[in-house]
Amino acid sequence: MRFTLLLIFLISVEVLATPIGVRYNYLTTESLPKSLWTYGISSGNMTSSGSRTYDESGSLIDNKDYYRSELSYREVSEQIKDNQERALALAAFSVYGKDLDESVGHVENDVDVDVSSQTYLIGRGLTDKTDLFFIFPTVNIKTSFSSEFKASESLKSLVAKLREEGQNSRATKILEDTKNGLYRQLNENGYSTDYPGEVTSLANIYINLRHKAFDNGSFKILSDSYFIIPSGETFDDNQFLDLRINEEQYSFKQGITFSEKFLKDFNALFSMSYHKRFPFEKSRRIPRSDTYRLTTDKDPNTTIKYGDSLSFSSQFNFKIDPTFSVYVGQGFEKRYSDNYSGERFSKERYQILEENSDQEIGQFYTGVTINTVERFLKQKFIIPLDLNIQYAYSNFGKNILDSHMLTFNLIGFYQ
Amino acid sequence: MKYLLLTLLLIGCGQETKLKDVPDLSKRSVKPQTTITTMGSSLQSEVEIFVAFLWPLEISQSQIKDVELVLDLGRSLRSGNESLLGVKAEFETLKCEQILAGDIIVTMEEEDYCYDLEDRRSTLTVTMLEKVQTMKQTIEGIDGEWLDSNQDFDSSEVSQIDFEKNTLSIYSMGSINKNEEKLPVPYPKLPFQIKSLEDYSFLEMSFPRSDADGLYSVKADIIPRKYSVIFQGDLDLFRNGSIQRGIIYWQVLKKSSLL
Repeated sequence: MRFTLLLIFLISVEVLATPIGVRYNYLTTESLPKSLWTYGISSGNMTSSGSRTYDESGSLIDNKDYYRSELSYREVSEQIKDNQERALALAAFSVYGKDLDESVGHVENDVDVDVSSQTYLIGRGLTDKTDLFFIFPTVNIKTSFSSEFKASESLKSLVAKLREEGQNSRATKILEDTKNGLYRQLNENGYSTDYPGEVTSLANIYINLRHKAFDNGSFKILSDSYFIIPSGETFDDNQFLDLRINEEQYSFKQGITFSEKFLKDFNALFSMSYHKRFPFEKSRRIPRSDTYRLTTDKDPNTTIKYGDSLSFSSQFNFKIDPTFSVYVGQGFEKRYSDNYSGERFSKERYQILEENSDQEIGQFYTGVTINTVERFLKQKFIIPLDLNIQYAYSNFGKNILDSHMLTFNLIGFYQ
Repeated sequence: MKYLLLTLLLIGCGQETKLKDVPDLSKRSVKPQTTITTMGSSLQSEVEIFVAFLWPLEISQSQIKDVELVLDLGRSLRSGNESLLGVKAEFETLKCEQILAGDIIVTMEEEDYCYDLEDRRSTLTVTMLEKVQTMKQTIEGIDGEWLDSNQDFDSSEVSQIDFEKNTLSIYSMGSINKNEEKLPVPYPKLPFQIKSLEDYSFLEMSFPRSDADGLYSVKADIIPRKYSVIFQGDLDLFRNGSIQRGIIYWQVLKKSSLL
């Protein structure tokens, strides 16, 4: 029996499927013996750490700074839908000596995302070298955000001037529009305003074919092929926060893992994979400009091609005894930009959706595995189980929330 | 994820507030104002100056300069009229009317001062009327709608406001042509409400337009000044599912004994 060789299988389910983030990551080059069934459950919780984000240049900055933006009088007027009202606002700004490019203030926003996942797995050794797994991840995503508008001295002086002239209604309206602009404009544009939000759903079905391609005792090569079937909740374009809890389309991921046993109890592993995502059509809101993205304009047949991903991981295992092992690893994943196209609006408008959609993440992970298979075979433990406890955190990135994750992974075997 | 989060950036947002907690401002409490009723007793019932107009439904880029001119004139109307009223008040307090008629004998210097006040009153009155005329021409020049008032009819009759019954009787707001004669469009005894927020009061009223389709809605800030109280704000015309925005302005003098 080769139960002792069984380690945790790679059920590093993509919790936030398209936007990448910290996730369970464990490398192995082992396969199941023929006709052996395996079943497992994995429970993970990812939280953003301290509300920080890796920006476009890879710097880790406070969310409030990342999502901060200056607003000019021009941009404020561009948000006014009614032509007559917009023209009157432009004229009024001029009468009160405000340059259109002058700042009215800045908006600070803070976003928090908590993701917990429960993943169920069932697999079988088809041959001694080839296994088939079905993986069913479910996710629970909680989001919240807060916003704060800070008026510039220019806007404060405008309001003071209006009050001095007795135009209190106008002054009050300006303050209320800036104070509650988000709520008002989400409503005006038909977005859901039901935040903080929470959603629980199946996040696709993963079919994983695993094949041990080479094994000379110390050096091994394992191939992992994933076919991903879209299942569960889909992204609703009325949602203000872009939560994509699954891939929304069929995709294919191919990985290859190498391992080398260079000392009796040390094992070094290296893995690389490529995730190919295929285009699909669905309704999306297409913004008019990159300075104001809220819109009622929808293209029901937007062609969406989420960016492909490329990832690398390296891992070192140390076996303390037949039951306990520890490991450390470092992963890197790059996701290329999304692509949007359609017939209803100009090409430039679709391209606005692509801005800053490329992402990168580096994650460090470490964990301990407790494997009772050998003790079970010696009739010293009641069932053959493998428990893996892992802690992971992002240590560099681009356009991602800084986050960390704790995962418990339990696998059983049956023949 | 950044895409939609970016949409947050460009919108004026609230104080550090969870979105769900943001109150619906339409439900903000507005209480009926009582102090204006008291203030109303200190005001005359005649409306001193009445201006109302509607902006064109479509304002082109080239017309924005004209809109700026009208807004600018509106601002100077408020300050200029207060200067005029100051002169009028002093003229009345010093009994210049009787002095210049020879009913009261004063020193030559005092008489000269009354002549000076009369000149200033005339100059300021002409200036104010010129400003109103310029506003009218500019509004008509950009295809807006000037709503003729008593000034446009050279009428000695004026609009009246009654703070006890909360009614406004407008001498004319618009005009109709009948047999090549321009006639006023009166609105007698329009009921209004006066409301207050924390630090200011405003007048609200709505009434059907009588010379064409539509419903007028007025929300005018109440602006107390030394010699008068100004009512100025939005005049919106709701017609065929659209809103045509405009401005309304009138001024009520304080009773001379209270100046």
